[in-house]
Amino acid sequence: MRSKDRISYFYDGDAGNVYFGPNHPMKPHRLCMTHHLVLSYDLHKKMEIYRPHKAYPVELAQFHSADYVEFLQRINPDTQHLFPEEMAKFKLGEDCPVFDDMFEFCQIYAGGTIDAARRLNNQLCDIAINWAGGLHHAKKCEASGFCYINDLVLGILELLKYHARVLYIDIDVHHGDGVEEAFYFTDRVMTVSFHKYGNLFFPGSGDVKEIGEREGKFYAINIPLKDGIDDTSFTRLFKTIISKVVETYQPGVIVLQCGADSLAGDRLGCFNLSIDGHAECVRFVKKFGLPLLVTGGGGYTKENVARCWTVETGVLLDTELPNEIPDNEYIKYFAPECSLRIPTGHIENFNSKSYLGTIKMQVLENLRCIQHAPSVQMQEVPPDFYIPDFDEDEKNPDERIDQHTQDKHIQRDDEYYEGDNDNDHNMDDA
Amino acid sequence: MDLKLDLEQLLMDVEIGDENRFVSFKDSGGKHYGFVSESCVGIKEEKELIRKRKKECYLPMLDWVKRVAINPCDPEIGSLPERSKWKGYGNGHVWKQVLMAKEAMSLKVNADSNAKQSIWQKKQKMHPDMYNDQTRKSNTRCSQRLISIEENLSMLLSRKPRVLDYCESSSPETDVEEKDSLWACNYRKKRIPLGRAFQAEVPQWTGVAQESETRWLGTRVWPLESNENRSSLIEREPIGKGRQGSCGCLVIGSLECVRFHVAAKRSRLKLELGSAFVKLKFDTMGEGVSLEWTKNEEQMFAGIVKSNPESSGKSYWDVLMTSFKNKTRPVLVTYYFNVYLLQRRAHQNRVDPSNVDSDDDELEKSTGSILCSPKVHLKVTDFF
Repeated sequence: MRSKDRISYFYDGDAGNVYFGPNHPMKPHRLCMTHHLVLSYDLHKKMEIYRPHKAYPVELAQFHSADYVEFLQRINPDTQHLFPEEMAKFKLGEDCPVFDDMFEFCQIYAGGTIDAARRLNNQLCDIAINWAGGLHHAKKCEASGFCYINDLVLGILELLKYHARVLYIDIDVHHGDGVEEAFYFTDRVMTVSFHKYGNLFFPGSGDVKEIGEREGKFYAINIPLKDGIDDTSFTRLFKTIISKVVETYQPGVIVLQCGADSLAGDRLGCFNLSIDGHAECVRFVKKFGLPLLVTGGGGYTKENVARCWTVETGVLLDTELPNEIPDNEYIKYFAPECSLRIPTGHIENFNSKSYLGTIKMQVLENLRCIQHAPSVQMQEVPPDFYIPDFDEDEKNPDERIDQHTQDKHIQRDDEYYEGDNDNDHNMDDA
Repeated sequence: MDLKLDLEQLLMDVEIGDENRFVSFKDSGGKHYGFVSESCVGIKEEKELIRKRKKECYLPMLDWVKRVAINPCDPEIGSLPERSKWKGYGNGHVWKQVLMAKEAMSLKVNADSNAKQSIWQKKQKMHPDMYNDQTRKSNTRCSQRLISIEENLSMLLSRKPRVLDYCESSSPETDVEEKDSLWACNYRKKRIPLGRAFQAEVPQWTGVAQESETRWLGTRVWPLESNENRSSLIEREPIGKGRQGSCGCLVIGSLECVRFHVAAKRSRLKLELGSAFVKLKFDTMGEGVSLEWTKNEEQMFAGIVKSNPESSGKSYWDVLMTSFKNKTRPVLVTYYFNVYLLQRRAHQNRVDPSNVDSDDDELEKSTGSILCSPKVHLKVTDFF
């Protein structure tokens, strides 16, 4: 592991004061709370804080269509009734309401991710954080799921100027459809999304069979999950798959979307992850030692969002935070316990071992189809990053071992007189 | 016994035939009451009988539940197989029927939005509109997706063979998605649109890194520039220090104690951050925001919010905007989150600490899309 990671943290105070409107679960105020909590733990002493530039429309149009960007810029709550056709065409008005300072808000959070990507490209930092970003549902020509501008796509396009391959990981409870769709045809970006799927859950895409097309075939990975997944199941699956992905794909940089709606108790989510479980994924990705761009995303119980992203900022800074939240302006939000961790709920985990095993096998099967890292020759010298080894004892003996892992086994298959590897069957024939 | 009452209600919803025919069914029970009776032997026969006497089967189910409720260890009830094997059993088994009814009822219960749930799952409700076709609009994501839960429910109650077939099938080719659910929810999966209007333009990798923009990389706010003088020396505290267990205040945890410590922390942060304090907009965070407001204004604000609850259909924001002509919307929003909500939470903390929620006066939207994603939390309490 690198001795000391330089962290750049992006924040703009104006982002938190924006208001989507009454009855809307997306509350940018959670960004103020997060930021405040981070500073009250004095984490700013270990990192650099940057105010991002407001992304210019031309930068936004690197991905989005020009007419969409132009409409976002000029529309406001008082004039929206005059443009019903465009409002419908760009899917504005319900999930994605037009509110005051909406475009400025987009410019801030997109600017944060773009600046973060640039700092990484220029090697001015090892890890860049933009909790305001991660709005992964926005499409090229339309808004979706509270997302107007897809800052992740813009950040990745920036990173692609410098890196042959970019790995995108998404642990929001919703499928990262906007990012997947944008890069569905290309092998220069591999998108991996862990999300709830089924029972009409938004957005409806993200089946394990969605694997990309044309040159991008096998470069989209989806891990559809059911309600109630807990820390153990999730982190085990996450580590298995991500290890394999990094090993096979050899990305130059990783983008990690840390949507906090996969936490237990989220207003819109339905998983049962604790903050430690969620943060374990962040910790795992950091261990690879690759340049890392971390963003926020969903998260609709704002106190838990603040807690989660604070703990994860600590993880990225290699700082363990005590559970007692220090005094700060927003302490009342965290009362009466004022604790950093949250309990998980007593909800049923509908993800059986066999179901998860099946998903894992399908994913690993698809990964085997990527023989070599694309766009670059295979190197003789092993790559200069740490891939955590797998502890065999942690493996579930009930799960069938896939071919590759079996290949890696040193023991001969017939060495043990057990089950299928039994070789004394012949004796019965005698 | 709630389950019993609900079942009775469920049965009343379904038309029940002549009661006399039930007597014989009841009496036929002996050791294998409800489990394997003389008329429910074999799978084919089960299907036949279920179709013919589908309504009659409900009474034994009700009776079985009653017995379980009275004495879960009643040997007459019999025992259930292992949970992982439930799928393999047909609907002729009373316990299987009960499980399916329970699932169906859970959907019903969730729709009522009165379900008592834990503090951490308070807002996980399924909106009743989910069951109606008419609320689906063409421009929401939901409209592309299919069978409504209502249809599933009616399927379940009418016991179409399709549902039975599913339960008995254990083919490994079944869709991964369907494998674990109690009934199959077949629906058209969303297709990824392809084309220039959807994908990003990704250039080929030439092997050489492009010039990355060096102008817009963000403006550093912290650490401060070296030329900024900070005159006062601040006592260094360990990074990541949490709240101390006790303090020297007269009444620990009182309003005054909290206020004091928060103010002390604010001063420390201000000294430390220097110009960054304002640049990061810390001056607009916390209850200090109320310093810009007069007492009258604060009372007016609270009054407007309280007298325009969500149930009235009026948005208090519209009233606030018209009443406070001298304050812009951002100012009102800042006040709402930093002062009003905080004070309400403080009140909740003192009055009912087990029931806190900073958003309980705001309901989720009713129309489709990301907000209509149903969270069917089947709260499993011990069945036996």
